[in-house]
Amino acid sequence: MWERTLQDLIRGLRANKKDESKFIAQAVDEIRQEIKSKDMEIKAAAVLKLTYLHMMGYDMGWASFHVVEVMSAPRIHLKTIGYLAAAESFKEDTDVLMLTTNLLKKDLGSRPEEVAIALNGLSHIVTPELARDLSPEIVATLNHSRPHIRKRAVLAMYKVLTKYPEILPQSMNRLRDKLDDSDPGVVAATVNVLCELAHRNPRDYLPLAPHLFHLLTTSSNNWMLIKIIKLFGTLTPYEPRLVKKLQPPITDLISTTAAISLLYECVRTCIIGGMLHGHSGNALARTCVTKLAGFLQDADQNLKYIALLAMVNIVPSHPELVAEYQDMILSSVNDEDISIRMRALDLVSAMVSRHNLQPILQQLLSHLVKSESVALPSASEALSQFATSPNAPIVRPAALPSQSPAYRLTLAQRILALGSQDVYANVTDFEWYISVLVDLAYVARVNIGEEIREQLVDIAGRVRAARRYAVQVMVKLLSDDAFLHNASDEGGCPEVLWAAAWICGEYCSELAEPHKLLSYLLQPRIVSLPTEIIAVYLHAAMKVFGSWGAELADRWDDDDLPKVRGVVDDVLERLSSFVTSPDIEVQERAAELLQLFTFVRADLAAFKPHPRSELLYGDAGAETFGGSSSPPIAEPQFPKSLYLIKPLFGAYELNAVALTAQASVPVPEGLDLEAWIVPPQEEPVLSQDTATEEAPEGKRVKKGKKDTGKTKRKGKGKGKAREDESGDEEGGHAPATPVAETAEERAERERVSVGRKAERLERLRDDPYYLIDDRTAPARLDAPDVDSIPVVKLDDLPPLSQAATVSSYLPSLRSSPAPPAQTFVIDRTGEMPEGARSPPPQPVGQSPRSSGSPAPYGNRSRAGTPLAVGAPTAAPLPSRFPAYDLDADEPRPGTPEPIKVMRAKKKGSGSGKKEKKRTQSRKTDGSTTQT
Amino acid sequence: MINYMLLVSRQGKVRLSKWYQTMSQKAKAKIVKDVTQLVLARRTRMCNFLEYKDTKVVYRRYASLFFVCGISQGDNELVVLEVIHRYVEVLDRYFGNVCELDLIFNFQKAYAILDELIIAGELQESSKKSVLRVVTQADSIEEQENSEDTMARLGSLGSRGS
Repeated sequence: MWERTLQDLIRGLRANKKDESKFIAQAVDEIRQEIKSKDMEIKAAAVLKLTYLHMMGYDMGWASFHVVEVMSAPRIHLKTIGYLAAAESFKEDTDVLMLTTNLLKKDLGSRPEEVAIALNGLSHIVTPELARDLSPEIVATLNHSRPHIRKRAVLAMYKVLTKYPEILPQSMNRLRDKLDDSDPGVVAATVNVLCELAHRNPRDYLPLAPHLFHLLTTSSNNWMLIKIIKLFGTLTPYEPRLVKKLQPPITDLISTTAAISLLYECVRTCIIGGMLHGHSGNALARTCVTKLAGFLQDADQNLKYIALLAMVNIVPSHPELVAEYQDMILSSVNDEDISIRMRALDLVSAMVSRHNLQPILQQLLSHLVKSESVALPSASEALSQFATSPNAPIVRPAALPSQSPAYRLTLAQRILALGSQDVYANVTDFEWYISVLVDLAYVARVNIGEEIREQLVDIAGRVRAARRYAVQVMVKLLSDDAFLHNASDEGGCPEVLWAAAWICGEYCSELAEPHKLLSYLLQPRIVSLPTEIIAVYLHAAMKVFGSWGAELADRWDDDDLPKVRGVVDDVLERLSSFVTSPDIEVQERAAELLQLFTFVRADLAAFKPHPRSELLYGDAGAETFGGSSSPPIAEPQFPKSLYLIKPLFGAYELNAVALTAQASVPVPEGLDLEAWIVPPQEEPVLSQDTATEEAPEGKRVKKGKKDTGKTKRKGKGKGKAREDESGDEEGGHAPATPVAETAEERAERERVSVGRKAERLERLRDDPYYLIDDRTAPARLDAPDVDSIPVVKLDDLPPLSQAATVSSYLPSLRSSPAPPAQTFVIDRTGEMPEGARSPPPQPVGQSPRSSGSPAPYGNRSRAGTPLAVGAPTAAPLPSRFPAYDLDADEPRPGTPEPIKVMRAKKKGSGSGKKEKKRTQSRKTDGSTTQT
Repeated sequence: MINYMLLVSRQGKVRLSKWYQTMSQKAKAKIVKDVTQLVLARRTRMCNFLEYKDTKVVYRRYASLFFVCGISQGDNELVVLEVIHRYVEVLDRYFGNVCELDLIFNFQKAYAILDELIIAGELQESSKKSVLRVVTQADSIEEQENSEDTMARLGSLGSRGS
């Protein structure tokens, strides 16, 4: 009578907040006593207290048996406690579950109250075994006289079916009958269960369609209607005729119902069930989109959310309908609520097309900018004018979720993904897109640099017409001190500088003032960058000088000499600091560069303005260096070393390579890829020398005897050639010498060696210092096979033996005729792959490789980047080039230069023509949208 | 279907947790922790839906309690909100202006009412009246049994005393 009740326990918990654990430990001790009580009332109270503690996270697994005891209590209210505790605490592997089978069986056939409790509890604790053993009883309760039991039984049946699907066939008929039950609650419950079951195997439920349709048209219970409609959404994809039948009632529901949840379910089913196709479907789609658009404007954020969610699914079939609400959707991307933002972002991504990519990307980009503007009120005004569309003015809260790095990263990744979708299929203006990429590098403030770099390099490679612009922008980027300064901060995107340097170097012929760029490429401050980027900088510097030098030499003017000398001296001076870089890559490149420039300087120093023959370096040297690119000049009037570097890099243009290019390289005649270059050695691992070294002393002696005996025998057979070799090494060299061996000798040797190996392995098995590799067994079996084949033939065909010896020497004979033929062919096919047929450029060489570089961390805040100036003004006008005014100064042709996308396409006979056609059509598309 | 329902106080204390799917204790604890954190971080005037891993979380705040439901992607979020509301209505009707303390001290009743409303993750009974009827019936049975019980105890005491 003095036990604590649940109320006392809870009060105690609230009173002892300071040392709760102590209090609970004490309480659990009491419970342990009480739970053993013979009085069921006390036991149940203890279990109830335990259940409460369990909810707070304390274990009650130890009390499972007592829970079962309480479950079997005769009094209903105690039984309820037992079942509650079981439902909360039992797991599938609780061992006392098997004790409950009979208990449940009894309860299921007992008074209605007990049946109800049992069904409820069963729905929680059911296991496959329980389901199997109790299925007759449960199925029987489906026909219980009381509707509220039938209802429970139907729902519990669902759990039973998920655990034990084998009884589905028997119970299906019963379940179907429940659709006709006199009690509407039972019917609704049955629909619920069917709706869940139909997900797994929709086809099996198609026969129910007429029945369900009848319910759909007659019922007014919204809870059930929602489930019926959802169920039809699962069924219609498997029975297209249903669509026509369902369209009228659903259209009716959409236009009449006041319940938004029902309306929403109708719209969803229309989408999922494919009811929006065809003529009547279009009308329905319009109705749906109009309704959803209404939700978008609703003050209720929930409706906004579901509208965005549903619209994502309409976009694929009816993009034009959704596009009407583009502004509204775009403004939702800026919502305060992250759930809505993410949905809007998804929807926006689904909506992107050639026509709206520009405004959408601008808008997304502006969200990245805007978080900065919170700190800068003056700029924020201008930005908000630009960003928020007129129909949906947004009150900006103090802290936007756009501040969170995770969200910014998502946004930045989304921008990149949208742009590069289907190999830039939606980008009509690459100059614009390049500027977007650069802007992104400025404003992202997350580690997205690597992805941006990939795209920049990719575009420069694929889109020829955009190269010049790319180079211009990259020069600007390279010369931006602020960017370089912030690059090592968190989210500074230094990898973009990698792309900038690489593009400037590779396409340096597009540079306006190459020599000026040199000073940026070699400025001392780049030391703060990751070393792989410095390496690219140095490399780019070399390319740029090479191109500039060659250009100067082409139109040589003696007045240029001091300028060149100045540049070279400058370069050499700057290089000296990189030569001592701790990074091997940087150091090596710097050293190479240093040597080349020292050579150039020497040449320049020796150069006399009006020379004839004073050149230090002879004609022969100049010709080789000049190579094919220099025009044949009889009397060079310029320092020849200016032609030194360009041919090293300029021989080929780097273009994108088709994915299948490597695979489509034809195998040259006479090259057998399957043939061994170096014939495999006979299991060197098992050669005796290792064994003798490892074997203990005593055994070694024994083995030594054997070896010598064997050498003698061999020596007889083979003669002088073998004399210098010790017996120990014989095994390893066997394949090189079999020529001299006769068949019997070989067989003999093999037999001996195999026997010996077995013996040795046997010995080693007991040797604690030797690890036996189990894998050697198959290898041992293979090896004799491999060389037994050639040997037998070689005996008969002496001429082949020479070939065999040559091939065994191959590794050292790299200059023999065969390998060059190989490389040559690969080079040639490198020039010609599928590009030979499709558009002008001939894909060559390798695609730029990215070295995974860890981006430095840091934070950047900065004003006055190109974007901050340019982007806002341009957003409303999609066809402008917003971010950079740079190109405005340049003379532009009347119609914008068509931009071609080179797609990596499979090589095929007809593909060339098709490809051309496609680019053609894209050309026209591009020009119409741009002007 | 509903995968779980949680009642969480503003301080993050669990007041009720009901699972309609089998899951290890550890996984449950993780979900409770994560979801509670997510829900408590939400501000008013935000929508009542969250995305957690590949499931959705529908929640609604009533006074100091958050009612949280986990559902799968294809489920109708609005219906779940209505289910939550229905549950709160029944609680309110049963306790008469329900507050958090009612649910703390009568947690088994909160579970019992929920069981009348939802079984196996599906709405069982949409009518408040019938739910209330069943619950009060159970109460009266308990009372009856208790009085029988005390009578029996008294009787046994009396017989022992005599």
